[in-house]
Amino acid sequence: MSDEQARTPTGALTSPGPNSAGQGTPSLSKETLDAVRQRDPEALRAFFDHFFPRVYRIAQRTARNKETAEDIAQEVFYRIYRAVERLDPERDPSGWVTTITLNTCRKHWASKAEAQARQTLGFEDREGIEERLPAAVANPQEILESSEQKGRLVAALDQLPEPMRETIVLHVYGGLGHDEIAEVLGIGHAAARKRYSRALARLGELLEEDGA
Amino acid sequence: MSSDDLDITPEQRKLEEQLRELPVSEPNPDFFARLRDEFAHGKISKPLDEPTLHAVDGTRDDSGATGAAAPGSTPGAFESPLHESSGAFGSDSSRRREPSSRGRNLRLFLFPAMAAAAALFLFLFRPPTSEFQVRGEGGGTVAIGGLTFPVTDTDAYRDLLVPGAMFHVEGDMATVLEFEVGDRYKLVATPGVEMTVPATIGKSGSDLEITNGEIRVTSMEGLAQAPLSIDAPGSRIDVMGTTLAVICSPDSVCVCLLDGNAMMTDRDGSPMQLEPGMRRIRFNDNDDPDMIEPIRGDERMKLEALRSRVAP
Repeated sequence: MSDEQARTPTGALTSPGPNSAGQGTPSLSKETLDAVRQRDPEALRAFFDHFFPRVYRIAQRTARNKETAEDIAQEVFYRIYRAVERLDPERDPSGWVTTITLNTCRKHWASKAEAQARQTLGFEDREGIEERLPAAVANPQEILESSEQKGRLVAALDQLPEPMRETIVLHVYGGLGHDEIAEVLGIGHAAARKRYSRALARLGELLEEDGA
Repeated sequence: MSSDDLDITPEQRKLEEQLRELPVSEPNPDFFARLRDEFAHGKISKPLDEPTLHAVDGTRDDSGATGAAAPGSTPGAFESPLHESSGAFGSDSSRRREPSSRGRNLRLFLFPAMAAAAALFLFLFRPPTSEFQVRGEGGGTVAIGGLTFPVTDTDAYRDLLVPGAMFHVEGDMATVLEFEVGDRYKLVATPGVEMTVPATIGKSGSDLEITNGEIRVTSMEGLAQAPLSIDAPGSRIDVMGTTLAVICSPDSVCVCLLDGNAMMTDRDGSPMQLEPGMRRIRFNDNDDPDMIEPIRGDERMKLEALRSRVAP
């Protein structure tokens, strides 16, 4: 991968597929991971390009705005860098990277600043939403309703118990399969699937309560 | 639908789609490029603790994007260095407080005096006997009691190596300082190590303390009667009969166990039996989970070489 090719994150953040750290790209080779461990700049760039989309998507859904998501992503890669020489090239580091991301997000979620930000409810989820809606939805009333609906969805997601919210964030935004979620959360595969299903069910209940 | 998602009802599937449709804003391209470059070149800094740094040194530029929360931004984000307009991005040194000239002068005077006093103290109050052999290899140095010696010149610093005294090994990869403590164990200190001289048999508590760098230890027949206890930041390692390495960095402690028995006890008191052939990395800030994985080939090779020298 050339330096220039990977300089833009555009595209890497859209339509995450399950089991992919970065838009369905193949896993990093043992040679690359070995070079990452040696802190080879080119290998570190490849590592960054591979994992940044996942890290950022998870951070973005945890934080309420882009700047905070970027801060979380920076802290995650800072933590990765300082421990990278202990990476085992024989093993896929996806679980490790995701665990660090999740821990950083948890720390952030528990912070007073983030709690205050949540009180103002997902301003960025509404911010500029009109521009992002399909052209067919040109009616201002429809725009408003769609915006409100998404705002309610974000609020409901915020209200979920942490284990449920994390499962949704990891699967829907992180693109992790249930086996990966099970590994990261230290639970069984069946439990991960069940937790995801329950999380969606609870989310639906919260939306119904809100709409009632 | 993947087999992974068989538990999902059609209503839940619809909800899942709505979640996917929530807008995801892309990161600032400048941020992405900059973070990528910082990561690749080891200049990446920690962002979330920055407000404390700024508050202490009083050097924060209160103008522009850094100084005030942008409309809609959260309090936790507004001082991130990644959004600074200055050219000091990622450079910790530019944000650290410089000591005053008076403090510098005082330190210039105090350090040599304290080092000389420590060296004199260590010399005068050294124990009558040392139960260990010491051997140095390579072109590096050992610093102890404020004095620095070539690591190979053991006669010059042997008397300063009293149990509990802190020393520091520096040098290239060929530099090692090796202790053989009675018939208990052989210990190799590598460049970068900061540790205390191992205690002799019968001392209560830990036998040695390591604060930085890598040591390798292999047990001998006498260790069964008096296990070795190593204090590392946030952890204690109890060595029964084994060959292992302890690697300390400012952020973590890694124990690589080649064979035998060893126990690692965390700061919170929870002990863990280490598994032969595996290494455990414990991060000091408790934020990241421990990593347990097979020891690396190069580490195994070094440990096997050490063990073979004790029991060929």
